[in-house]
Amino acid sequence: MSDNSLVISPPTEPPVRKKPVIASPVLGMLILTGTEIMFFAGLISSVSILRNSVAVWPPPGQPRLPVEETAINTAALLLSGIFLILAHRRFKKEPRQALNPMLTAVILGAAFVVLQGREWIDLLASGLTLTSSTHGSFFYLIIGLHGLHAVVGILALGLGCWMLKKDKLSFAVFGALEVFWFFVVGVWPILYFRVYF
Amino acid sequence: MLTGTAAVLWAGSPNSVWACAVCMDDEAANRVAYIAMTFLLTVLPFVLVGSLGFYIWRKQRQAEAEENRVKLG
Repeated sequence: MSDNSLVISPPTEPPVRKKPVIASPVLGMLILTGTEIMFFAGLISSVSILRNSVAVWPPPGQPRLPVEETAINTAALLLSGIFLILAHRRFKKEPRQALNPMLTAVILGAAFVVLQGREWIDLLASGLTLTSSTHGSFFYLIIGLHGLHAVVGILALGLGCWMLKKDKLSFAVFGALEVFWFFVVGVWPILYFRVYF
Repeated sequence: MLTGTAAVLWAGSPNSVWACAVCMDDEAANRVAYIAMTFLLTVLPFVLVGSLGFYIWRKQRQAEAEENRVKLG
């Protein structure tokens, strides 16, 4: 015997799509940054063990790294991070107001890369090369990789500025750019004190 | 069987296998650096994943609190 009675389910409300607690571009960038932190931690660990295994550092006959000159580059990079914080605050109020501090952050970041490049030219001229010693190898590997990240960050922030000017930059994408740049700025003091001193 | 294989491998392994740059080092500073860096590289992934998890959890709680506030009017 079959039951032919009609079952009427109570009316249901349409499913409400909840806003994600963390924007996808920001989450993706945070995960990428985590892997980058591990990558640089591996390099810092290598250089730390190497430095402790030798009696004299830098090795005899190798030039001393320009600590004082690099302090100016460091200040430029840290300042660019501060300007990006300012851009974040302005973006929350009125996105277009974030353009000037964001552009300033890009210019300061570019100044950091250019000054680093100038420093490299002097170091190469004074005999510190990738193959001259382990000191040179680690210096160009670690600082060079950071420089590469800085260049990528500057290009991304520059693209962000252009998108902001065209009113096409969302807060989520801006957040992802911020995460990457804060990583570039934040890892630098650690590299500076570990490699230069 | 497993113990025997391990013993044969251990006895027959070349000297280069033992040539770890720091494990058997008498230099205290080098040993400390090795241990500190091992600790750092072991702990750091947990700190990173834990921080991300905590951040998402906090954001979720904030969103729920906001939702309840809207519901209650």
